[in-house]
Amino acid sequence: MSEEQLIEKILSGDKEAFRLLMEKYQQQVFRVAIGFVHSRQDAEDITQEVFIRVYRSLNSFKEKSLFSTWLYRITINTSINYINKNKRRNLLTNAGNNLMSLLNKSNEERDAHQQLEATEIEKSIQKAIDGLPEKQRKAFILSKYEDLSQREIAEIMQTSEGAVEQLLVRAKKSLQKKLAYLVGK
Amino acid sequence: MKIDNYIDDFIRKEKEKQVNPYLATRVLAKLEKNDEAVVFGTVAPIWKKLAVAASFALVIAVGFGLGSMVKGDKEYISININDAQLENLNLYTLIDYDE
Repeated sequence: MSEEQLIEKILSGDKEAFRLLMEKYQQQVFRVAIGFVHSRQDAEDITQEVFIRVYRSLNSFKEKSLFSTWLYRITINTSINYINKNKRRNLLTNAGNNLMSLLNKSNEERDAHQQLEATEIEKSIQKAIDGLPEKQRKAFILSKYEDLSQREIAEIMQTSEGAVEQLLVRAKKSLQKKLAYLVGK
Repeated sequence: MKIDNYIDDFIRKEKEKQVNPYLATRVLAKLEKNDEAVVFGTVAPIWKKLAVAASFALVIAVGFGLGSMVKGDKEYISININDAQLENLNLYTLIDYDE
């Protein structure tokens, strides 16, 4: 069944058609969401919210662009809204995690120490990605998590390919600057 | 290890994570639940508003009805009030005052 037929069926109230559409795109939405929030639970919440929004606003989808382009836009907006809404909660969670890792540090042995170091590196990368300016972050996630071309990213972000290229170059430079201390490890 | 490798490793691990296979079912269940909520959410207040408006109208109509049902002769008591008698100014002006 083609995408257009699937959308037509959903618009006529066929929920099974919507299930098919979700199954086709859920991993893609989940991957982008995880790029923004780095947590399976949060990414699933976002994915769920995205599909509810898609179901409710499918009649406003104009087939001028690809369905996937429209879906990526909704996913990015939902992820950013989710992050802004949960900022305070995330601060508390991070503080709790840091405290736990400090407590663990004093108790565990050498192997665990290495594991902790790896976790610390991951946290630093996560923090560096999260600290990118919004546009750079969007372009970086679409490029790295979805392997999209600059042309596709430009269409999703409604900008030029040149602008996307600039955003990616700046994002890469910024990450390298922030994570430069890892080179010695 | 180069920074790019660290970043690529991190992203590769995140990309390996799989979405919950029951997510689609969960979304459909939530949509059904929301549909019900929408139905109840829109019908109930209308009924409430109608009930409140109807009860107000009923109370006012009953009030008018009862009021217009009251009949009978009304007895008035006429009171003749003479200001000059009630307040004799001589008391204050001391005219004709006998010591």
